Amino acid sequence: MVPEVSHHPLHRADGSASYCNNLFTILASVNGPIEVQRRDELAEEAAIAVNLRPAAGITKTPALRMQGAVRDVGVLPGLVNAAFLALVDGGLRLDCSVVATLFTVTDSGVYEEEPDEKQLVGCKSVHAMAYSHRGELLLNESAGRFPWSEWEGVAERAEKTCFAAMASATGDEEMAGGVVEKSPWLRHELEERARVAVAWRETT
Amino acid sequence: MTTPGVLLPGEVVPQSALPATKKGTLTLGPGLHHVPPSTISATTTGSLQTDNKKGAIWLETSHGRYQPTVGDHVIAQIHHSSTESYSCILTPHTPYAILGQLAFEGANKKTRPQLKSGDLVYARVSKTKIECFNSATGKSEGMGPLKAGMTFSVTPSFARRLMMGTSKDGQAKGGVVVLEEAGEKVRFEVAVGRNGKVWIDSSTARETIVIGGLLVRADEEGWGVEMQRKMVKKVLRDV
Amino acid sequence: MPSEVTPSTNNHDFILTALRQNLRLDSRPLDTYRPIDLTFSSDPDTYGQTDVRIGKTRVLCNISCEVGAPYPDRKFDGVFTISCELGPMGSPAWEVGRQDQTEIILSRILEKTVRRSGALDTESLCIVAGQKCFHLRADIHILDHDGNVLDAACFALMAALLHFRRPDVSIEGEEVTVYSVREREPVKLTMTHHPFCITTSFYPSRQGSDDDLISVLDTTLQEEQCRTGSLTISLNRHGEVCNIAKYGGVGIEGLSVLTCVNASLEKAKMFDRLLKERLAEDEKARQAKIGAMGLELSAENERVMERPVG
Repeated sequence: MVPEVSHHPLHRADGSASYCNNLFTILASVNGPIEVQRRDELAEEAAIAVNLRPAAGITKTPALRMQGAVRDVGVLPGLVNAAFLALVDGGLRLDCSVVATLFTVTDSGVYEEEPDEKQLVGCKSVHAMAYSHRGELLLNESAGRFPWSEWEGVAERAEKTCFAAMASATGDEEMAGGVVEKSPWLRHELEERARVAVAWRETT
Repeated sequence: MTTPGVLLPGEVVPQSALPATKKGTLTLGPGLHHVPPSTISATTTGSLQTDNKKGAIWLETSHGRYQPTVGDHVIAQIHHSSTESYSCILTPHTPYAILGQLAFEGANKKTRPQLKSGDLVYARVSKTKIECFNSATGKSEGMGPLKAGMTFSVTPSFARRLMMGTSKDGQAKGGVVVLEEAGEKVRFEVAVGRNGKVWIDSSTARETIVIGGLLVRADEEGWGVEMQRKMVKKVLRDV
Repeated sequence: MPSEVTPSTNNHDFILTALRQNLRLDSRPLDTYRPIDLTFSSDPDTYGQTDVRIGKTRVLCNISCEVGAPYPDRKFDGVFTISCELGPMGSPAWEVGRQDQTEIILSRILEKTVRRSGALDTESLCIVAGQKCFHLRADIHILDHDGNVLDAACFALMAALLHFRRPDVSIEGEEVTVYSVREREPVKLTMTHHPFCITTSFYPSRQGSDDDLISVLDTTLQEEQCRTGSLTISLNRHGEVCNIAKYGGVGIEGLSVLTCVNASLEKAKMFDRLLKERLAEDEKARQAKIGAMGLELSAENERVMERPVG
């Protein structure tokens, strides 16, 4: 399933993106680098303030939000992907590329990638995972009942999914000549964006 | 035409893409980061551009807040002054840029310009401050206080393209011809700040609005050269 | 403490000079709004979510409701709250948890215009007197601030209220059953009238003089930062004024206020027309979508039947 992405939908924020998957539509924005309040200053690194704002209700800090419930795990991958796209749009210096994905496991042990509302409600366990382009596991939040082997099963699949999203066009999927199973959606999105940025060079 | 390679944040620039220079030195531009000993990786998304003559390599991007680089021309707004210097705004919510009270052509304690909060100057970014003259020659080189006129906001990348100048065969290197085209019909003064500000002053408010509006739209709507020519003609006909 | 950077002296003077010649930076007449756009959530089960754009200003309003207890002193009324918390998405000058002037004015005026003018009949939110009622909550999110957020937010709020449908309920003795959207057709809110905010900004027509003012509608952020005062009139299409708020130090004559009310009435009618138009379009699109989804659902069921179990 390819998420729906729009780059720079907002004018005032330095960077912004909207991201829509089977479960949520998320609008992310970033301002920076800007001056922080002295109380938030860190001696050796950039201070990052994160605000989460549900459509209904007041702004929360992530620590408050991360308390367990299945729905909260369900929203995490979307939040990570939207935030990453906004950071890229804002041109902020990044160390790596990140993709997050969501898996659910049913009672009968079936793995479901990017579940919809119905699958999420009916599942036995839910897992949010994010990987960097170097293969580092950056997010690992699960809820529900599951044995270790099931987590491993999810991790293996999630890593593949995340890699596929960033795979270059010359990657294994296309080399195999068969049907490309997973779309490198993130690479497509960002390449398209980069091409738009240099379009003027081609017209001159 | 082959599209230049696009890198994602964190990806490594392939050795084969690096420009070969006689001196063997490499100049890294925006969007790239050197990881010792010899890895160069991307810090954002952009397409890889190289200049073999200068041994330069950089990522071309369209986004983000302006970040000051030595040598950039900027339009700064005075926020407040102290005995030694003016504190100036280059972009909102970032630390003030410091402009020495005497960093103007021919300025001494008696002749220095008296600037107030809200005034604008055209200045150049030096190592730690900004200045309104070339400290090597002492000449203003077009810099100094900007009187009257109006500043329009554009993206920093569009401002950069505006300042690229023309090549030997008279082509605008940055692909922006709005100012040249408009200049054939109307007389106006212009100063382009890399911080995404374009100052325009014409004899009438209407002309200033029209020229500024054309620039802003060319940036926002991504007009190509032909479109720019067409729109300039169309809009200026009505003025 | 971050705050919006004020325009340079050059820009301030230029904007004023231009206005005195009837000119604006976006070449609009002084009494004309920027293009206004209103969209609703495309999900046919989501009601009361609106996305309003006036030029580059963008406001999202979301209505939600749950069943709760009424206030002890208002046994026959439901509860209706409007929340407009500003955040750094709309402008880097806005900080979470720190109320600035814009936020205070925004919530105060929306409160008076919509809640206290009785636009929403809160008695219709009562389920069991003194025991159960609907708590209705409107969340206003300013996504992009390029001036005139007040008019945009009020429009988004009114549109969301008119679009929203609360779940249907049935009462049997003490037992209250709340039905989901799929179980029973949800119910529209009872609105008594449709007020809109129209803000007029004032500029001195001569340097240093306040006796003759230029009136400008739908100001951009930069224009707003150069004004000497403003008048926000809340009224419906019948010309019934429910609130007038004046900000900024400049004095405005009684007669000018009346002129403003008349000009604002035209704009209130414009908002009202646009809203009705969009509501009708959305209703049509939803019916079409629900029809199509009915087909899709039955197709899905067939597939499930065919698939071998396990």
